[in-house]
Amino acid sequence: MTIFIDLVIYNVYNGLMNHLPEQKLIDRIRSGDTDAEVELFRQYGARIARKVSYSLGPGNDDWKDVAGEVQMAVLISLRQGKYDINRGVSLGAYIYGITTNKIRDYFKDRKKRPFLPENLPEGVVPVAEAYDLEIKEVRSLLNSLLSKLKLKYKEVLYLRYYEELSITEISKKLNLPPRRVSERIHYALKLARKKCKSKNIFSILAFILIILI
Amino acid sequence: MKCKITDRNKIIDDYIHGRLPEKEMDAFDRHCFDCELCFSELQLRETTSGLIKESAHVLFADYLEKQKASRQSVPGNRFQKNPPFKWAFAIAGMVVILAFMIVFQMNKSPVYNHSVFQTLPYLEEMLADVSRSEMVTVFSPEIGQKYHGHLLFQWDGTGEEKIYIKILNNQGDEIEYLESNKGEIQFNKKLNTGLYYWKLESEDDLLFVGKFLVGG
Repeated sequence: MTIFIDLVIYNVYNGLMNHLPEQKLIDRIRSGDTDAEVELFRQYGARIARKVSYSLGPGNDDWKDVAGEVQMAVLISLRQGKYDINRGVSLGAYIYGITTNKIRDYFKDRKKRPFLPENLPEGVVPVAEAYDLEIKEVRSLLNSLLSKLKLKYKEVLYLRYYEELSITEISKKLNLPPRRVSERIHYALKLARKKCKSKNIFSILAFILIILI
Repeated sequence: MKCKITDRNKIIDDYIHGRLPEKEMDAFDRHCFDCELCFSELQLRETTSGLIKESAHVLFADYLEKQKASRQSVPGNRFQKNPPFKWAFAIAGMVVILAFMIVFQMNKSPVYNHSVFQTLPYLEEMLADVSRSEMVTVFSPEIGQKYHGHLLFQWDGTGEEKIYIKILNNQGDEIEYLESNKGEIQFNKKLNTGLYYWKLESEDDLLFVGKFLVGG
């Protein structure tokens, strides 16, 4: 019985601890803390921007306005206390819901609703701007890294991402075991990941933008 | 909260190439809003894929040049046009192999055979690397540890996930295969003298590469 009670307390405690950072962030936003709003979009901005830009498709510049609408909608909703963590929906899932609703609205009426960055609180960067800069920097790093890779890694990346062959097809073509093909792809991407992490892209860019705006 | 997806790389690659059913794509999209690990991996692979599609002719110029060159010179043509050449080439090849075997046998020392300790470059490059975003810590064995009849493979960061350990000789041939979901496993089998590599793997990921020595 004692062990059962210990387990219950352990699980309840862990559940609370998992929600604690989110709850703290939401409470700070509700109390008008703009640093918390900056923090919110540091965590979720790229996700919103990515989802919107991919949903609207390449070459469609309306994505920046739609992303801005999502950003405002998320802010207003959280400030007004419309999100309740105790309903069992994570903050990420809640923001995902707002994002997909705005995307659906865009495709329904296709009216361009220009987004005005000055409507955002001081210090909060438009997610589209930050995302654009981040992707440019990541691409520049990847460009430099990929061109310097050894031929055996270039070979598998080319076949996987340019010719879109499966691991099995690549292994037959190169006469290598599938596991060896996977390892080479993973190793090349691991190098890329390390390079991007060491530059700590998003944090630096967000900081620069906050100073400039 | 720790992500429970075990075949992340496959899911992401299928997602990028549009091979997932729509429902699964939406589910993964939603999951990425909660999971930093999956989102950062998706971003990286998506950006890499996009960049390669746009700039392959520049980024992979040396590889494409090499492919072009190897397609232009095909040794087989010479064989088709000149059969006696084919036989001469085959006999010469057999003589070289025979000579190599004789020399190899002469140099083989009963005390120390250098070839069984020769390193394997592609595994040496991956030693101690962790593919899955540095969440796995390997405590034992240390890289280059000597094996004296028993070895404890011990690691942290995989929870109760089923993990596979593959032991390979220095030619890259798998000679032993172990499974565990407890973060550790003992190995006690007899092994011939030489250098051995071992890989720690999940269903879809290579997590760690190490090596140990028997004798030498």
